[in-house]
Amino acid sequence: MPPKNIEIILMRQLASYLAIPTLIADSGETLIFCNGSAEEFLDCQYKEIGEISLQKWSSMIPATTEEGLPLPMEDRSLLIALQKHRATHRAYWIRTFHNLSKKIKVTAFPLKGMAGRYLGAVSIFWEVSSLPNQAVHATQHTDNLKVSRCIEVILMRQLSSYLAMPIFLVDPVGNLLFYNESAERLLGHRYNETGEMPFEEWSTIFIPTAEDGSPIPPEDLPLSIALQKYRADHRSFWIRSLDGIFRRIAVTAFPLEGEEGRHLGAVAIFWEEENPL
Amino acid sequence: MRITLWGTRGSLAAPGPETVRYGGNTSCVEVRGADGTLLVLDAGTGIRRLGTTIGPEVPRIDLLLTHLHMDHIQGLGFFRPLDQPHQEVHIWGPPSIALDLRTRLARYLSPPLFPVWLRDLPCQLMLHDISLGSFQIGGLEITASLVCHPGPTLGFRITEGSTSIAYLPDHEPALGAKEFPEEPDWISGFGLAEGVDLLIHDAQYTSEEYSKRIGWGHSAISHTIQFATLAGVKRLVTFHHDPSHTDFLLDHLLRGVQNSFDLTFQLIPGIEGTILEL
Repeated sequence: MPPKNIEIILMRQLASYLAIPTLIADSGETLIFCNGSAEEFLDCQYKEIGEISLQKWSSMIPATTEEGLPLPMEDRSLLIALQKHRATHRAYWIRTFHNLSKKIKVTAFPLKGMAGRYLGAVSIFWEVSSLPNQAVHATQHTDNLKVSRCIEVILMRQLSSYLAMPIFLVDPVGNLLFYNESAERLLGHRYNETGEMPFEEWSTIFIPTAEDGSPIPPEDLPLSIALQKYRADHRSFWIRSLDGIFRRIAVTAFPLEGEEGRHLGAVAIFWEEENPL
Repeated sequence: MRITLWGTRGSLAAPGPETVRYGGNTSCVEVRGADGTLLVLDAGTGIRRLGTTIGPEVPRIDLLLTHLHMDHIQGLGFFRPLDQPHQEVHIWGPPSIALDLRTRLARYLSPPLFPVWLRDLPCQLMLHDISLGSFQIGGLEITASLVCHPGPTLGFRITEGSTSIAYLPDHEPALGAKEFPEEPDWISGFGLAEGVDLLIHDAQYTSEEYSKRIGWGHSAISHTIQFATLAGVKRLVTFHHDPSHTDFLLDHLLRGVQNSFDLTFQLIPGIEGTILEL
């Protein structure tokens, strides 16, 4: 079997530590990893299944739309991310290996490396009916000073440095811990020039603006929602980069939840969209 | 293929009486092909002495940089061939999404960090952003892949006929692994190192040091041995020694390795000045 690319290796290592159910597929549309949380959720043992095509996987985990209609293979989130090279965020029903019906929200995004290489895709998902345990999260906020030393944050930061998608990483209270080279290009400033910005600064400095021109309150930004509500979010809007240029971006954000309920912060992946006008 | 170790120290040059045998110069390895092709791997402080041995009889020098951390480029400004107007020098560096190699190198080779501008170097200088995959320089085939180390960092596999070496001076293959080693195709750098005649690999830390430096991008020596064993290499050179590790300690660590592991390869201490013929 050919060796995996470093980006895929780092993503798998990261996923193995996350409490969020996570699947990884490669560019050949093969499911290559299913983390422990996903195994528990889907009632399966990935090592017994092994690497299989997404087509076969989809037949093992049948899905239906919210209206109860079969969800076509090409509308499954992981496949959209793989084939269309864009993030996707939707809800649908699945049936687990133990024949349990669960409604899930799925966020999937491609893994794009340097030189335009599309290496695979990642999907994260959770049950719509379950609410995050606020009490657990309130007590499990990891000391900010230690967050940057957590393996999940180390892995996310290193993975980000290899990816061509602009990525922001914030700690549990919203301080900006890191953004990668791709984000530097989009934002117009290098990370070592801006450093670790507090939430109040980064959530406003880029002047996030909705399509109708109205300012977006900080708490409505996807990264804020991921931090405050412990769920993924996805939105398109305008920003003014630090180089003064207005850009339309799409943002997918998700919380970084480690094992034993540790809330480690959140990640936003974003990229520039063409002006629809 | 002839390999000469001009600098085997990591992170910071560490001259002094307690490091005189292993050497204090940072990463630099010379590779000479049978057809005379000259590759220089990294431009740590060890490149200064290498430069004094290269004369006008060498038509072309190819310098391959694994990454641009200071200990791997600090000697560049003191590499004598760069001062020779008729010397052809190619510098190959890791790809970047944002900036070309010239711009990134110029961050160091320019005032206030260095008194000479990159553009003012007298030699015939050509800079290349490495494309991942394989390419040819003279009679040597070079394969470059990204490996696990903070910031885009390359490892190289160099092949001449049936002989191959792998150079992974800054590498943390065990990062994030709950059990190391895992399946080979899930290990960073495995594809570069598999079956090589010589592996030059990061062996910076003791296991205790590594436990406090997870994510710093370097290996515990035990991980290095496990990696080399899994890759089925024939020889391993321990490299990128921690600046605090004295000759005495390095000897002790290597003795410990030989006593603790059933080695399937020849273990070669990474000592500055070592010449290996393959």
